[in-house]
Amino acid sequence: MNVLERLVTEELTRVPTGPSAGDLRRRARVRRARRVGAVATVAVVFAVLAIAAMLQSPGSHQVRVVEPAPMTSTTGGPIAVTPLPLATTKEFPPLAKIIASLTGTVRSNTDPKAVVENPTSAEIVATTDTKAYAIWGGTHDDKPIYVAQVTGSFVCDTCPRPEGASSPHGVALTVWFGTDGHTGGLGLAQRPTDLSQLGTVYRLELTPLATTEQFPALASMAEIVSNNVRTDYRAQPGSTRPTSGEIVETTRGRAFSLFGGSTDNLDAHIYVIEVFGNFTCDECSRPSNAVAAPQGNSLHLLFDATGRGYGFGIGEPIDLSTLGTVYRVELPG
Amino acid sequence: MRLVAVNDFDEWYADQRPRVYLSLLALSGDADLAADATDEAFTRAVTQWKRVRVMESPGGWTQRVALNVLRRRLRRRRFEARLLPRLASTEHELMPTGEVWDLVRALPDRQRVAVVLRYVADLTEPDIAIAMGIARGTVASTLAAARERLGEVLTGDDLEEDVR
Repeated sequence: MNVLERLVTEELTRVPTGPSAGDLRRRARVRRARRVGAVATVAVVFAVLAIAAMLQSPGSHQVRVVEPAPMTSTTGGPIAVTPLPLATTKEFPPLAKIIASLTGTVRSNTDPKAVVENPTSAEIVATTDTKAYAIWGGTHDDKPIYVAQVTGSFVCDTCPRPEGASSPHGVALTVWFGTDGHTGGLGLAQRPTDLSQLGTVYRLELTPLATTEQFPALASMAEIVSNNVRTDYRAQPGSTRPTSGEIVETTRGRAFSLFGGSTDNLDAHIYVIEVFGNFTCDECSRPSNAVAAPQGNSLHLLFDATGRGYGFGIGEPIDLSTLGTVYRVELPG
Repeated sequence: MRLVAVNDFDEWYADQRPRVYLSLLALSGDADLAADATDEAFTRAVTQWKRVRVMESPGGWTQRVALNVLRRRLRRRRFEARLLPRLASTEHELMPTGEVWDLVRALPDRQRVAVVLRYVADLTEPDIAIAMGIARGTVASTLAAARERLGEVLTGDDLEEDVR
């Protein structure tokens, strides 16, 4: 034993008694309780904020829906009840290509100020350019073509127009297709055209209805969206609430380009539901110096693979077909 | 520090506390601060006892926690003394007292900590490495340098082989 160790031995005899092991355990229990309390408090705060900011908090989102655009068919009745046969590949071989092209055209030309729900169906007829010439002009070479017409509220910012004129707009969007499915042209009109003068008219489903086989958590997601729209809906005279939306299955990575957010698990499968209208989110977070509440013409709700909502956005309509195959989802009343 | 069976916190605590306290006292010279940091370290140990007891060196871990707490409180005390010089505590006699302790305190920081952990806390070199967060080889060379400086202070019956 060296000098230092001898001194240590002496000093050890003078070390004052500390708290007992029982005292330390009590102290540890108090700390654990405080920590649990703190964590619980933080969790509650986050839950309240998340709910308020997102999906299921009554009164959290004030939604305004503008008067819907007229939705009439060529026969004057609502498109949804038009007794037209459903278009198939038998009558229209490049059907998928036509639907994809028409859907993109509709989305890119839908008037964001007026849209309540994106049109989900259209009318289509097989005819010739000569027959079409009598109505719209153009070529008349007796070439077989397909003509599709969608009713809604459309504005074409990219269409040619006289200098200083506003963007062409109309309630009927007509698109011509070649027999290979390529787009031949489009036009906007202030009233729908009776396509039956060109041939047998068929109904074209633009966005097929989503099923639980494709989207197992469809019911709960639709319920969440419906609650979000319904409970926060600020009714205006003559306004209607969106009763359907669009759903697409995609990945976090693909959605990131549109919505931003976390860069974790970019390969994870998610669902995005979009509903159209005129929404104002009074309770959404915003910059401290922002005067107006966030508003937009569409709501986007993001769900994980189990159907749990994890994101919410309000803004201008987004073309969900850039994320995957779009389906229509009916919202419970 | 001879590690005892770590199945029972009470027994382990009773064995360890005096040396942890004394090592902190030797390093800080402040009995209150040493007691405070010691109690904090053992409170953390009992809070996580299931995890701590199966560690390679529960003593080394506790000593490391105690050293960190001590350093943080010393830093805070120095900071407060700079901000509030009139409220800073007056100079007090460093403990424990004596020429040997003065020599130990005069060592460079790393050597002082290594010597205190080795001879006061009675830690083995691997445990000192854990407590100081350095390599075992560094502990050995640091202790060798300290022994050279302290000379006779560390000369004794067991010096020939005190590396465990």
